[in-house]
Amino acid sequence: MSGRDVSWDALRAEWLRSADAAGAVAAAERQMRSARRGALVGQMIEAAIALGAVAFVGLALRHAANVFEAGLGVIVAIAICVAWLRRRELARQEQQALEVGTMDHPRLVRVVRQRQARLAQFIMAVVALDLIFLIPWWVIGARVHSRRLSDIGSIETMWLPLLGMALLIAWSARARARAMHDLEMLDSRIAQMDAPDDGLAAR
Amino acid sequence: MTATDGDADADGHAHRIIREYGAMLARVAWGYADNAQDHDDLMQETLLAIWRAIPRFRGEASERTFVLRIAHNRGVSFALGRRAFEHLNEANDVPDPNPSAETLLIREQQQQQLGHAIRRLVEPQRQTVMLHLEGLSLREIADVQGISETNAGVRLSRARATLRALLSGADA
Repeated sequence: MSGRDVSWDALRAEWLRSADAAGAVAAAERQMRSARRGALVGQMIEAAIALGAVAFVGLALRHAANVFEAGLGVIVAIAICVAWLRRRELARQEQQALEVGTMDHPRLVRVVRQRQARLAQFIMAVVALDLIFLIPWWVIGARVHSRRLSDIGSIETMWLPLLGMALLIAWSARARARAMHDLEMLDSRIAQMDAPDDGLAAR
Repeated sequence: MTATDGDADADGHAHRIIREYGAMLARVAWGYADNAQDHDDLMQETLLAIWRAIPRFRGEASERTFVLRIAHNRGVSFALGRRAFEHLNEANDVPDPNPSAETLLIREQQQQQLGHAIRRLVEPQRQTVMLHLEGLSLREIADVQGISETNAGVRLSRARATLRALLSGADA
């Protein structure tokens, strides 16, 4: 196909032929089901992580040694809820950003990504605070119950939560890196939008 | 109205949108994805976004404009995390239209060239061209992009010139 010998109508016909209507509709039905199932599972996992983390802190709070430790535990529990709600709110904002004109979209997504990067840092800080709260509980608990590090009780109350925290830190670091990468890309997209004479995409 | 009623409404609406615009959404996704896996992922994200947006659709714009806005915006966000476009994936780029060997081969090559050329355009031009190829008027293109009709016209004429140059091999 040559740009010189093909009319715009021919290009349009070619374009419209590029997706077979019946096949595309059938695929879209399947894709919709799969997307909704994935979104539901994702929301359930997220809720389970947040509620599990709060429940675990609540469990530890029952054995708080003093008012300071109890206060710290309450702050950690509140911070976990705040992080979860904030994440849901940012997902809502990102969805709303999809419904605006395509020239406004990159700017709105940029704001959301900045907030997501900050939220990732906040989650890392909450995990650090959680560790500060839990370490005395683990140390005292091991002494009171005469537990060794390889006991099932230690695995349930210390190693598994530690693994969860490590995964959460890794996820947050990845989320932050992705948000920072997107911010960089979005800046170049916004520059394209603002350019008086836009042409070929930079490679 | 209960949440379940709302979901059922959104479901019915979403299925109608899929029937009416499924093929169009698949074409738009090819503007932001150059292989079957990415295309499938993007379609899922787009359809989910449309399903979530349906309860907020108040009819200020036409339904097609509303759907296209979401599809292009989702495509832009999706493309942020992907590598820059280089070459078309030979096997998976365009779904089979008809099972006729030679015609099919030529058609596939033409579609690949067109898809490749469109993906090489900067996003504002790429969107304008795809919207125009879908048969939208300048008014509708301006509405999807949130710009004036005059700006949409200028962008379209530049985009057409760039696309022709790419297809003729001048800049490709």
